[in-house]
Amino acid sequence: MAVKGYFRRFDWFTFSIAGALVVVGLLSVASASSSGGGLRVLIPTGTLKKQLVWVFLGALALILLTSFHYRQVLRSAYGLYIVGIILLAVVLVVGRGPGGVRRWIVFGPLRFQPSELVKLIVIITLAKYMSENKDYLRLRGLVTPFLLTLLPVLLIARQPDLGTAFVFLPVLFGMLYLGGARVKHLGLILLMGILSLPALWFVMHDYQKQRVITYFYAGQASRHAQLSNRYQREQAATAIGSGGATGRGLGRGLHRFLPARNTDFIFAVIAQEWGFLGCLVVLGLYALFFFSCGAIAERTREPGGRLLVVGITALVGAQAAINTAMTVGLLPIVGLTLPFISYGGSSLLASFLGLALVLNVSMRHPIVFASERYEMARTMDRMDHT
Amino acid sequence: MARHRRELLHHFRLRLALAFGLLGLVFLVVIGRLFYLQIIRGAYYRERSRRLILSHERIRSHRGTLLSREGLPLAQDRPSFDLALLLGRIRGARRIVRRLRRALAPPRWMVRRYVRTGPPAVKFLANGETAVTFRYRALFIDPYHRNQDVKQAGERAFRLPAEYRQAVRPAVERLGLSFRGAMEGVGGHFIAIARGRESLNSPCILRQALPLKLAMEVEVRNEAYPHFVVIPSARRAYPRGRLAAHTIGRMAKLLPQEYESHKASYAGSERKRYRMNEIIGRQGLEKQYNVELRGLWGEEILERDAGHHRYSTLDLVRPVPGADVQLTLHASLQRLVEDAFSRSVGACVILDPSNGDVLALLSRPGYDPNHFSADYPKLRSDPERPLFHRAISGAYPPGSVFKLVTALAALRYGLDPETTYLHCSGSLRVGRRSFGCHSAHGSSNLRRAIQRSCNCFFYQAGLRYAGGRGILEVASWLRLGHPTGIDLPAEKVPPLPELVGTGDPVNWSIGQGAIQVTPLQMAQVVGAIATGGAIYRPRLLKRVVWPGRAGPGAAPRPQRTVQLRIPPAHLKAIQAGMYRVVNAPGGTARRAWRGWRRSFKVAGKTGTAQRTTARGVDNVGWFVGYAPFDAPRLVFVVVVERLTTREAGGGTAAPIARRILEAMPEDLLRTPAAASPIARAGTD
Repeated sequence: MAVKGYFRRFDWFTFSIAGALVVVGLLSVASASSSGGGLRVLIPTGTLKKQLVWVFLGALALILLTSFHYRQVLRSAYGLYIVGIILLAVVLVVGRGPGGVRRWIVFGPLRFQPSELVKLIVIITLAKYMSENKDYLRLRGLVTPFLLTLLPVLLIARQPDLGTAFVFLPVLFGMLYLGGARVKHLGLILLMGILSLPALWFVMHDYQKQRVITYFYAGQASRHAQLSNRYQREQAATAIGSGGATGRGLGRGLHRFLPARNTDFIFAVIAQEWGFLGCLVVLGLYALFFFSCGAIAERTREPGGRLLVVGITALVGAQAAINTAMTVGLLPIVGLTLPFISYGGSSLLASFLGLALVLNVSMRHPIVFASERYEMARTMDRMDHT
Repeated sequence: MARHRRELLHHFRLRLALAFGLLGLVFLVVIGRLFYLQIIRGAYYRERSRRLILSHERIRSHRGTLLSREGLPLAQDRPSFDLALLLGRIRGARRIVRRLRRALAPPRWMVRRYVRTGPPAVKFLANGETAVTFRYRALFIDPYHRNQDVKQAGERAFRLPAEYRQAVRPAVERLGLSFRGAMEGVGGHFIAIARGRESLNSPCILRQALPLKLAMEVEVRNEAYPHFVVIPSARRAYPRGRLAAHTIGRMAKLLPQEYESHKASYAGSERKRYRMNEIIGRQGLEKQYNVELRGLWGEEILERDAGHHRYSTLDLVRPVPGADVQLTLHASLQRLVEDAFSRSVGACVILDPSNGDVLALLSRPGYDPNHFSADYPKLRSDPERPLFHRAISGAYPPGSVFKLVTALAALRYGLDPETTYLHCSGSLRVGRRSFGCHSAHGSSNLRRAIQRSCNCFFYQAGLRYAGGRGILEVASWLRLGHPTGIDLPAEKVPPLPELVGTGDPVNWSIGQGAIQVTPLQMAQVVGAIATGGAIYRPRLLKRVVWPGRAGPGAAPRPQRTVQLRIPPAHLKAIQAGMYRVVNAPGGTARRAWRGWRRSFKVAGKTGTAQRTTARGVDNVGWFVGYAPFDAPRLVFVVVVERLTTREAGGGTAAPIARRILEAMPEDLLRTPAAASPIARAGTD
């Protein structure tokens, strides 16, 4: 693609919204890690420098990933999936992390979290599968998408990283729902899942329960970490509340005692320094991003591309919703980052790659050789069945 | 068909709208919660974040008690109050710390050309300012800086705000403290903060162990004592004062370099790790059993208000109290020993030879650990070295006491215990030198020679039978020259002399020359003679009593260091000689022991050695032995130094031993001994 054409087709609107979120993130990371207030925030700290490096790398990856057709990504979906599973298996063996969890693969100074990439890989795989096999419209056909998702979920839950494992479920349901799966089926599965949890619990032996507990909690949560949850909540509430309507101002927050202020709890820093209005702006930016993604999905007729956009939107939406709800104390504390904003290389890179896929779909309008619109094809399919 | 068409048109868009609706609902709930926290409760949280200080504090664990053999406390934690000043509320405190941190960092030109020779010296000027001096040495010798200390003096680092000084001053004076001292304490605390060893929220402790009355005064009349707080704490108390002070040891603050090295090497539980500024056992048993006594730190994350009052606890990990350590040391026997010594300088060891239990261990002069820090300058400069543990580390010439070793060596190399008679004419010529005896004893066999402590007999026994090599060999078997392995951290034993040629058997055979022993080593030698050759590792630990565990902890098994095979006839002769030292007319300790009324008999050996120290020539008097004679239960060693050259062990050390044994509690003697039949040799 000629460079000129590339720039003309580039979706500047969606890109700018995401860019604005990244800038918000950089400012927050700067102030959360700096010692002074006001303009002194702009003196780069080590944390900020690292984050800037990752933004740069993310931008490079974005250009790279938008320079070829997204169908090529879809074409290699199953290969990527196998690589992702291998990475997750490897991290269970050689992984490192705080308090005995196995979450990162460490190469010298580099730390890399495979589960962040696997999120995207699962979305790509599901998009590929669902664009080629329409049997998910039947109840029995739902088995394969579920299995494709559950395998990485179990591996990630084993690390243990329940937050990341959980976020796959809204992504899967979102893609199936928007892909046209029958609400009846999805509702049935959801209901069965909810009902089977306590039922399963009752029929299990004690040692089995213990096994389940230790499966999910292996090495996690020393007593201290569990106790600290209350502390963290109180701290977050105090930080957010003291922000008031307009906030304390950039770099003037008192978040020295707020754990994970750069990563999972960065929304509390934003709330404290920028106040209620600032929070509305940030949430508004997210809403704009979702609408923009929705518009792209709507105008993409090619099912693979559409499902890709839907999946990434669901991922960003679920993470943003869970993270903010957790920060303001509505949900239990799970380790999930705020996309585009939180500090952390793997998370930021994954956000950029997701954005790149959305932009890639947005830039290309592949010709669909079916005469019907995409919905038509699916509807016909269903009519055949009935 | 119409239904399908409608579905067809709206299918994706409808589902997208519904999905976004769900997402929007979550966002709305989040916004609602934000509204509640920031708008409705905003003022409350703002106030709370302004007013409350969050701090992460550690909770000291209760340190275990050191108990005597009878179960009396010898060292214990007592609740006390510390008086402290709060610094976090000083206006511009953070600025002060920042400035101080800059001032404490050496200037760049200095780093390039000089090496540091010590930490910066901090001096407090009369006006409340602080001067910091850097101690540096030139790295390269150049004509201008001839390898001299370079000091960068007069760096005025900080000054406390006048309003703070004025607010604090009357209160400090009302409490009877010096204002200047208090301000120096504050300055020191600020420097510790600047060096990262303390946090700004940690109170600066001005005085420990505040009297209860003053503590209550500060608490009740809080408004009259701005910035002051009383902190409940614990103080290590030694309820029996000077009793066994050297053995019990003392506590001291962990040094920064110790902290660093510990941090680098430690790989265990985080809560067992030493913390900055922790008070740890520094000497004696407090150090030896620090790990057991100490327990585990607790941690608390809590909020405090401006007055340092606890507002809420957010997280708490309770401390685990340390274990009590019960000792083999018998407190009332130790008291007896200390009283018997009155003002004498020296040392005493009493131990059970059948298992190594140390029943009493004394080093004189002593000190009172309760007033250690106040007395320290005086103690340190005292020429009598009151801090030195003479019983385990004092190297003394053994004098005639060593004849027991010579006797064993000569017996091994052919001296007959009954029939070898050697003549004493008052002196012995060896080559061109003459060696003296204290009188002309005539002809004696071994037991008579021990009874009268005849030098000539042992000169000849050493020279003709054992030789220098034989004496050193047997001495080494008896563990002389080796550490005893007692569970105390500072044992230091003198080495045996080197064997050059045939050595110096004449002088060595009467314990003079280069032979030196510690009192504890000598107790092992006597123990071997009393029990027929067994030497047990001396021990002070009886058992560790863990809190919350039912019943007393198991006592460690006695550890036998060596078991010598000494022919019964040899032992019998030496034991009989020692019996006669005390009980027969003409024995060297006979005079001190006349009129002995207790039911058991004592065997012993006197000794007198001349030594040359930096302070001139003095005599060291010894009396060693065991009791009861027919079934030894304990071995005693009494050493008295700083005697005039006319005084001897029989007249100085022996009476002390008698005073101890005369008042000895019956129960220490009655318990059946695990003594060998040889030890019950007849009294001839």
